[in-house]
Amino acid sequence: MNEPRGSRPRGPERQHQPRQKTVGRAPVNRVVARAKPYRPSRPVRGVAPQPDVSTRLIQRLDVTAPVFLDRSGRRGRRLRRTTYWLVAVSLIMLALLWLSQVLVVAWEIR
Amino acid sequence: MAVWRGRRRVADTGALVVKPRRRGRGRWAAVFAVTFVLLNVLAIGAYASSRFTPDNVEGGTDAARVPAGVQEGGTIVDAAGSRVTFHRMPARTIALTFDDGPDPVWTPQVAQVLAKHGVAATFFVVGAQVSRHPDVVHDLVRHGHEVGIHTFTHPQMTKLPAWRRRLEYVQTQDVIVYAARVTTPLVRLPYSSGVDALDDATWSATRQAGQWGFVSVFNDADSRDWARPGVAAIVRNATPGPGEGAVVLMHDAGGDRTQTVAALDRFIPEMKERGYLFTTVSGALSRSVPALRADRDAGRDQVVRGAMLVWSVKLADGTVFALWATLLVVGALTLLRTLMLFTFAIRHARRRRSASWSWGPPVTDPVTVIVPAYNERTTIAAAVRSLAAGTHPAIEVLVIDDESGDGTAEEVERLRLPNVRVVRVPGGGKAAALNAGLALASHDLVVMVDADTVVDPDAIHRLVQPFADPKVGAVAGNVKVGNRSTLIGRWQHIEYVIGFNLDRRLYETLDCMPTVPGALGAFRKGAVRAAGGLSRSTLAEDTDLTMALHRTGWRVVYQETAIARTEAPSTLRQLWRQRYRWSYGTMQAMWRHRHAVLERGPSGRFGRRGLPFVALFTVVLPLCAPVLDLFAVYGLVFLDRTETLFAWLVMLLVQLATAVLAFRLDHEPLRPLWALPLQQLVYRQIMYLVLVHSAATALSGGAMKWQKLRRTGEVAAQHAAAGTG
Repeated sequence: MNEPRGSRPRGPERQHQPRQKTVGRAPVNRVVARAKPYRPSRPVRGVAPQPDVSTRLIQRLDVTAPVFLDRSGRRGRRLRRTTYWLVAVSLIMLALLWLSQVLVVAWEIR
Repeated sequence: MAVWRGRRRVADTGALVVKPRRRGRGRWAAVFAVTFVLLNVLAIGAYASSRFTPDNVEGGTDAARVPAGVQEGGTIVDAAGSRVTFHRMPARTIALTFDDGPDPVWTPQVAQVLAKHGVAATFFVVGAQVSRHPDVVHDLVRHGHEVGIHTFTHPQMTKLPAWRRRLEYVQTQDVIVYAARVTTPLVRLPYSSGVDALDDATWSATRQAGQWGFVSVFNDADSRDWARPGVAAIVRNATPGPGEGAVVLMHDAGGDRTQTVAALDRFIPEMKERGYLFTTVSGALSRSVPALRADRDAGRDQVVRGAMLVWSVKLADGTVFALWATLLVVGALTLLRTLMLFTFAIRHARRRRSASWSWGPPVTDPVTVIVPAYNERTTIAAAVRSLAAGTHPAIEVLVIDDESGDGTAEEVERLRLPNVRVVRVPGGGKAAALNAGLALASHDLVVMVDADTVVDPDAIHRLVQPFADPKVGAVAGNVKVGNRSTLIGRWQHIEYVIGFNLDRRLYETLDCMPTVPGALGAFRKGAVRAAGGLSRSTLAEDTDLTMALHRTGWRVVYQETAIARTEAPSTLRQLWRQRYRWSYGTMQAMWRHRHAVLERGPSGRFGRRGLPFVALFTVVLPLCAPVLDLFAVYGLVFLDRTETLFAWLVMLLVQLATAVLAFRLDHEPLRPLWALPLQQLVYRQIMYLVLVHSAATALSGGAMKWQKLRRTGEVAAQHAAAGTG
């Protein structure tokens, strides 16, 4: 009983060992309830999950990283879309303005 | 030290592997669209700001077709039908009419006097002015006054085609509808004062207005208040004959109307005392003129058109104002910069040339010259030869071959020069090559020279002399363009001479030299190491290093006698690439050192004094400078051409004076300056576009890598020829 647990033979060797007699049982309490199996909670709209910052890798500052460079391309995309949108709206407004004036003139020519 | 995909090398380290995308067309389309919108806005602004003088033009002489009824006093003309009818104001009835408004200052004052005396009047408004001040018109209508059309831009209607006349009326009607939700049947032609002055052309325009449903209103009494003859004269002019009714003409805009307001305050009570009744034109004649009784409900289409006109005029006015403000700021800054350049550069040059000037004891310490090279086979031999043959006592030339594929290193080795070492490093870019050179340099003084640059024999010796001053950490040499045979080479030559001889002297005086040029610059090795070496995070590693040196407290000076000749880009495409990298790199370096603004000590000094100065004059001012050319074009098209041309020539003269000073200080012949006017027409605009391109790349976070320029070897060939000669 006192020999270390790791030194006990396992597998087929163990079958040849004489079976040791049980001298007692450890007292345990009765099971009074069962825990529900773990189910990850569903994401709730409007509530951000708390990140586990304790085990996150620290991002080291890259001193050789090119200045201004946005590797994700998100900034450029946003800027481009905003520019295109503004240009499109301006062109549409301009076209409407000219059209309204041209119609007045066309009425005269007619 | 490179990026490999499979067994193929695809890029250097530091350069991003970016998927090629075809965004060029979209970007250029956006640029053209923005330019198109801007031109339209400016055109609208110019249309709505047509200059006009008050209605003081007399009619023509030919009046054969003007009906007698009008000339006999029928001041209200209804030509809506086939039969023209003329009407006069009833006896002892006065209709006060005000032209050329609304004006945000004078119209409310006039309205206030009218309200004081309980009188309503008729305001013939200019559409463009209504677009600018719709609230004033709204208030007039709300207080019981009447508005009439005085056209949109106040042109001489007789000189316009029919469609333009129609547009003038409809546009004004539309903006009145938008401002006050009423329409008006009344119209008064600009420059048509009394009926007695009517000529055939004006009468034709009056008939046409009638056919479009408008009732033309002339005047019986012209107060001539536009001439500001004095209150008494205005009252006298406005007073009708005894017992007669009259349409009285006054003005509520077009200049100082103090006399008009004062005259009105006297005229109304005086006439009331004489038993006169004041009313609007419609108030007096609606019973006899059917058109004045017509339904005046505004249509929704008119409101929409009016809104578009009002807001486009407001937007155009705002844009023109912003451009004018920018122009003023740019002009003031340019003037300030020119004055500073002249003052500081001349003082700097005199100090350096004085007999007592000395950096200290002669510097004869050995020097390591680092030459980073990547595929520079065409030019490297001449560069290395010129460096190795320098007159400085001990020069070690260290060529760092950055994994060239054209045999650059072998070309140097073939020279078999005793004081030249070639080191091959894995490809990592110029900054990495320079850092390797620093690590391998044998001496404490290092000079960095580009592989396409040929130096004068005494250039290295002269360049290191400022190190006699222990506070000096870096020295900028005087780099000149070697290939000046083409126009583009001459333009760059002018730019280099001005930039080096004036700008660098100014920057040195103010202790904020932004760049020790990579083509020729000397450094203390310890200072460079303390500043963190050369960074790969910007594309202008020389600017970045210079700023870092400032922040660590070192002085950076300019040595004009250390001369080198470099090969400048020989095509516009190459020039664009080079300047794109320079301006983008400068922006990167400034942004990288932005925290210096909040720091203490030398870093804070540079951050608060030098950095804003450099940012203002190297980025902000050049970015705003296109407004000069924009207004030059705008002025030639819409404003006084002579004045515009004069202003442009003055600007050219200032540039010329600056260039002459720079060339004189540098002992350069003035002949290449003939290319200066052309430089203002092409080169400068290309530089604007490059800067805008760089700023757009910086804002969008786009990737930009080092772009290798193609060498022609012209400077190297000149050096070789001079050597053999």
